[in-house]
Amino acid sequence: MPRVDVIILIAGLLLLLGIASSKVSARLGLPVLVLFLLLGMLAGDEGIGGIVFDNYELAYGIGTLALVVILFDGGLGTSATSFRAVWVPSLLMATFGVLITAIVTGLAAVWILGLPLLIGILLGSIVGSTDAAAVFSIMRHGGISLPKRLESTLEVESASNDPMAIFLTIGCLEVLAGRVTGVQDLLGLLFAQLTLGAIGGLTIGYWAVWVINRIHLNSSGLYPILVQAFAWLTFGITHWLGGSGFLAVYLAGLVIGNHSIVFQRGVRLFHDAAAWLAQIMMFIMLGLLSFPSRMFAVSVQGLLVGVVLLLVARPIAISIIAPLFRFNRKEIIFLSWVGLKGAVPITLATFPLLEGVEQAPLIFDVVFFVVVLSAVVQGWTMPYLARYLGLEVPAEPPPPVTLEIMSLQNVDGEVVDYAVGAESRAAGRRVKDLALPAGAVIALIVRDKNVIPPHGNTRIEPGDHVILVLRSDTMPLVSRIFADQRLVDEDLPPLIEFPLRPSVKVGDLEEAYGVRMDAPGDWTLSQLIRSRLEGDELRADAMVHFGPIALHVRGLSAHGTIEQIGMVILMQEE
Amino acid sequence: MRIRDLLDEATVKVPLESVDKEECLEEMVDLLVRSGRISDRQAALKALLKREAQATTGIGKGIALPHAKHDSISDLVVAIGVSKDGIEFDSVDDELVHFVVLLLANTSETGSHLRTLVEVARLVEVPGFFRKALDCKTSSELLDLIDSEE
Repeated sequence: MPRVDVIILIAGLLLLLGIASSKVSARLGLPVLVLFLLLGMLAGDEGIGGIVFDNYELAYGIGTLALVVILFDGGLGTSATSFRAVWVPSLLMATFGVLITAIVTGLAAVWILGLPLLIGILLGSIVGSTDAAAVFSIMRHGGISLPKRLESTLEVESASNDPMAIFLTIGCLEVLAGRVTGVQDLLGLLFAQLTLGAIGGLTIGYWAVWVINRIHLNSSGLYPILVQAFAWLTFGITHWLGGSGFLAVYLAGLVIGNHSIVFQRGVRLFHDAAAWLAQIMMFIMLGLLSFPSRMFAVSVQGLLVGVVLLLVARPIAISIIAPLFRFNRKEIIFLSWVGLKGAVPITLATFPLLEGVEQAPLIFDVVFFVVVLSAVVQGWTMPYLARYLGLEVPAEPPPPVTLEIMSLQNVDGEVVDYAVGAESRAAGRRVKDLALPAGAVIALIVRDKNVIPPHGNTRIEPGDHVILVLRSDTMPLVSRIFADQRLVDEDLPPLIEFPLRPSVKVGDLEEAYGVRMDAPGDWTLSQLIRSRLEGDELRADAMVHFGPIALHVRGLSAHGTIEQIGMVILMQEE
Repeated sequence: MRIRDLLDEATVKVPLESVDKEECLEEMVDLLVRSGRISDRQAALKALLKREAQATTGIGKGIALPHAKHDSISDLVVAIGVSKDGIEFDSVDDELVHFVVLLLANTSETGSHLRTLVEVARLVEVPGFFRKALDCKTSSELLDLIDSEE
């Protein structure tokens, strides 16, 4: 064992190189995880670094922990709405899909490598699952945007298919060792993994939300740690009970991420960083663990197994399942191709080694070859394939920087920093002409290094940072005002706005939309707006906010009569 | 809530045959009547026209979102239609309407009515959605499109 200071120095260097390689990744069009893997290989004992690392048990430990962190962060970032929309197809792909993939690949391995049937199926099971770390890394940092449903399906599938692969792998090993004989035992194992995994994850997730919002910690820095502690706890408890810890930790993340919790943004930032660290660590470690010379020795067989897996096994599985859920041909091609392999197969490939299976070293080398092949070939080509199939959608505009008003309490308000680009709607306009909704005020404007106190006549210039204090529900509207115009499709209305006659009665509108406007029912909308806006505030483009809707003054006559009103429904989250 | 879950082939029509607002409302209400989602055709039409009297729901850029509430409607219902040639809908920008989403809800309904309108708004704001919707030749194509964009 080298000295601790040396280990820390090397780890620091590797992290630095890992981060540096992420800068190159976009330019090369190569997913970062591939670069991390290559970096690990370069640093390894057959590369220029010469670091000797062959501790499979330690690798298994680090790999598991990294996966817990990555899956939990993935759960935090998945919206419940998209999860509900895709969970059925995803779950089928994660179970039957993996089974089909494992059997087809396993049979091919029997033939290619001359293995006994069960050992072949074992190999197929190990490489059967799609890797969550790889998929999340490419989906979220790969520079492409996909249609929501497609993206969610892949993410949920990859997050939930490890139990099946683990189950199949352990199942094969148990049968090989003669510990399990009946199909019943095997099915029981799978059932326990899935149900206990789901129950454990959801229960602890809800419990965590309850605790986080009631614990009242003195230091805000403890909140992210608290949340992370729940992630580890979820994995540990569920695994101990015999459920799938990986599935549980993803679901717990999903529950926590979709609830309003104290110090939310700090928690998200922390976990984003933790997931990055986990990815860098895990893939560099896997690179270190590999022996390029041994991989080279099995390259022909590995290539054949890989080709069957990539071009035959997964496409068969996907084309059986996906058409049941109205995926079109292009999406099926894409889903078939994006079965990226990653750390789970390599972690699973250490199981036979630890069990002392005779063909274990061969399995490990082939699995490693297949994983690298998949990560490089599929990871590299995925963005191009998405573009070629016309599946890419325009990326959403970058969100404004949000600062929380109070870190230790839940407040329905936010401080938001909008960077004003040259193409922003707000650029060149005076503060009083911005038509900000009620419930949003500009606190200050930062120009270069100067702070400018905002007045009605202050003109906003490109390059300014405008910092607003606003009620959370007004944010979508405010974001529109500051958004880059080029990002808003010119063919479409900027916000759905229903025209209304100024003579329409308050009572009629209240009845039609179920909103309360706190004004006599026989008033006209024109009267209502006049009563809310005083003097100078009444101008074309002024906006008055009433719960879920806002009334927008679209036109004023020369005498100041309101000629046209628009009703905007604010884009609230459910 | 997903718009797609409120729709099926019986409540989506590609292409619409009508040429003006009244015909279009009738044509789309008939989809809902024939599929058994609403029972009182006259009442539904009257409520929709009453809302149009407050100002048109032809919100411009070829899109119209007629909507109303009435006691005779039990559940929130949606119908969607695409017109190739365009419908005279008295739009704010005087353009012909090509994409119509019709929404009917019970009078007591508040939240889901507004939320669905927001969902529809989100959908038609997806860049390129409008153009792709006009390219649809059958109602199942349109359903697939909505499903994938939502």
